[in-house]
Amino acid sequence: MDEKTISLIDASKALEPRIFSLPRLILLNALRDLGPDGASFRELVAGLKMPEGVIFANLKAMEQLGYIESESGHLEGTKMTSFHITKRGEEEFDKARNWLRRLGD
Amino acid sequence: MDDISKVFALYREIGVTPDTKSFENRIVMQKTICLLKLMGVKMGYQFSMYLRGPYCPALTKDIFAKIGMFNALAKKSRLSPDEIEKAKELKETSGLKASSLEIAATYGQLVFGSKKRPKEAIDILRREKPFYSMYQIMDGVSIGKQLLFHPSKEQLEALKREMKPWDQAADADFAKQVEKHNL
Repeated sequence: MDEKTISLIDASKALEPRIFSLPRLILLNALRDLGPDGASFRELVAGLKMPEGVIFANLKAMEQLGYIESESGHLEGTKMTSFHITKRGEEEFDKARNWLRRLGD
Repeated sequence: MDDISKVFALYREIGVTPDTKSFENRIVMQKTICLLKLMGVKMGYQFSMYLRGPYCPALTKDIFAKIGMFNALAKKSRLSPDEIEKAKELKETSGLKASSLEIAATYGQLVFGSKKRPKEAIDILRREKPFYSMYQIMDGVSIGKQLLFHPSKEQLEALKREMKPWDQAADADFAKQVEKHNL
């Protein structure tokens, strides 16, 4: 096995495998850009073009892991739930993104 | 250069509450600055299209970091008469309504930032923000045009012709709402 592959395998031990699914990486990528502002559920559904059920299930799972926090509020009288990435979520996503970039090199 | 003092001075001028806890208010805080930038007020903070439309992560970062010093920082910046007038125009035209600001800012960024044709910009708006009614979209677009578009007579006639189907759709949508709610 070459050195690059060995190095990638070693680095992978520090990663959280539970974020390595396409919906979760896409959600974290979108929320990473928005920081503490986050996005509402309806914005995530409209913007990411994934089924509502998939988005909801993965948001809830990542909330359990502590990578996302939800917040209830209102927008012009309409009840709304928004989600933002936590510091821990940012760190885990950045680790995953850097590892994937190395994989592609 | 990013100038949070000027941002806070503008918020104070137009009466935007310095409150980061409310989702609705956070929309107002982002989109007012986006629109003022498109109107020509210089203060740094580059906006690009993100999931939520035109957005500036650096602005969010500075707002959250420095909101505790709002009054002190707002006082540090002196707005020019032109900037005060633009801030006033934004407030009076939009009523600082979050949905109107969001749609107006997105329309403005698409047409004046990304150079999309107005009809294409509206198509994008309808696709990316399907939770807004046609009436809300055309209302927001109208606000965007009032703030950002100062056409010649010929340009205005050409635009009216291009926008006629959308205006008719908005009127039909409004009529349905009137009938539905017995207004």
